[in-house]
Amino acid sequence: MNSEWRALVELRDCGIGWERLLVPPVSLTVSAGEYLLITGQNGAGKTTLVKTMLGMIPALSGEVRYPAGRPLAGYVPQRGAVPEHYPVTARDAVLMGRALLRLMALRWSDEDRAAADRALADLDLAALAERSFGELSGGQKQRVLVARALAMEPQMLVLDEPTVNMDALSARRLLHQLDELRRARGMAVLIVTHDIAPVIAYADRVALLDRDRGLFRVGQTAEIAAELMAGGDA
Amino acid sequence: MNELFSSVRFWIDPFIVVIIASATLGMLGVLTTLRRSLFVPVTLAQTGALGVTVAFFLSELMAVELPPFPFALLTALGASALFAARRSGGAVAEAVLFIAASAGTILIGSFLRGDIHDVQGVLFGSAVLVSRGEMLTVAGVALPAAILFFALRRSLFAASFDPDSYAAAGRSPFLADLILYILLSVLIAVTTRALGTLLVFAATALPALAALAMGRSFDRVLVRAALVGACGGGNGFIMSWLFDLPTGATVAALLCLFGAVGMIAQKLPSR
Repeated sequence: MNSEWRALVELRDCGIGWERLLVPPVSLTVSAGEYLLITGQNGAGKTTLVKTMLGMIPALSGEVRYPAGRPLAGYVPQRGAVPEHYPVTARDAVLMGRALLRLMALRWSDEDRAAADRALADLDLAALAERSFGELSGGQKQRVLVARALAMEPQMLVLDEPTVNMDALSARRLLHQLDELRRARGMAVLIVTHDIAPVIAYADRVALLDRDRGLFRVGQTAEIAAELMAGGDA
Repeated sequence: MNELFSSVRFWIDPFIVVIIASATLGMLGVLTTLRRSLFVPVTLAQTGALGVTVAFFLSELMAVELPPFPFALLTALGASALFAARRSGGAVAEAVLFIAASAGTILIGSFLRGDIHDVQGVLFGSAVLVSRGEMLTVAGVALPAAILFFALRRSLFAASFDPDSYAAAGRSPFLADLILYILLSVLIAVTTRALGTLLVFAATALPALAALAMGRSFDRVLVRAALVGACGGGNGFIMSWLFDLPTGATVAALLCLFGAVGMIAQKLPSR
């Protein structure tokens, strides 16, 4: 990892979980511009870890620090987590990312519209902009939600199981686009997934949670991949 | 019809109240309808009614006249905080609170001697008895509440659509929900006296259902819900006057018709 990268979030001996610890206390630093893969079995605490990191749930112990102030984080939830019956076009959904930046948005500014158009174009969604969100395919919805997060112009983009139920080609295309955007914008990309195969080629580092073995490990991709191959799981 | 126009001074104030209340409740009801929290408004109205009953009860007990509105607002605000805090499992909270508030209103009402008709007026509405002062109060509260809601609509909508992304961006979904429910509580507290709980329920759910069936843009849905509410409220009021029908029930029936037409239109294949 480039030593000049700026730390965005630091977890120091952080206990993660809702009432009791899911894995041993976690120490982890996320820096601007890095591509971090967070993996483990279902229920291992991957989503809980990122929610703790983003301040959405409190740490049970330890400390979550934001060395340069709380980073602006775009979050893309798991598929099916957002309702489909809301009256929004794909463009409205992407513009919603701008509404996350402030409480009052009486009118969209030119800057808001430009950021949304840029995000739609970056994910090849311009042709679908006026389509109703509920009518889009699962993969298209997922890309719209990524575009919504990008429209915020975040310092950190967090995606929870972004390639679930996506065909291999679409998944690769999305991950490649995210890698290009990360390089162009210098933002951190955190991908939470139990299916590491499509993501591992892009990741700088991997954080591994193993609830059964009571294990949390973070390291360079090659190192953790070798460990996973040897263990034959995750 | 001539009689209607010649007697305009008798009905213009309640007519304005019904239109303002139906339009503003219709607009705010879009979000509660989208969130499948259809019973939140009627529960807020019922908890407000409990507050009014408590005000009357304490007035009798202490032999001083206490204004019912602050009591209605206080109980409705308490319910708002509960709903905002209980994002999941909200339907259970709505049901329990509605039943508890209804039972409490009836039980406390049974101890009242002189003011039972006032309580019934609050519960079932008495639009025709609205005075100029009450009309100005409703307008003075509802219009700023509607403007504030419109200014905050995008943020409230975003929090409702995806609370996790809202929280990840450093904003509080609890606060967004609380703002929505407080605006609803304030509106309901000032309009229930004229509309009654049945019409409050109808005005928050049915214009929203009709408007949602017609549009796929949130802003347009909001405007249409306000227009459907105003149209249903105004026409229902006139019909009730012309045919000597109960006002609340007539407006509610007309709003039901609008809601049904909207839902049927939604099922029709689009060209």
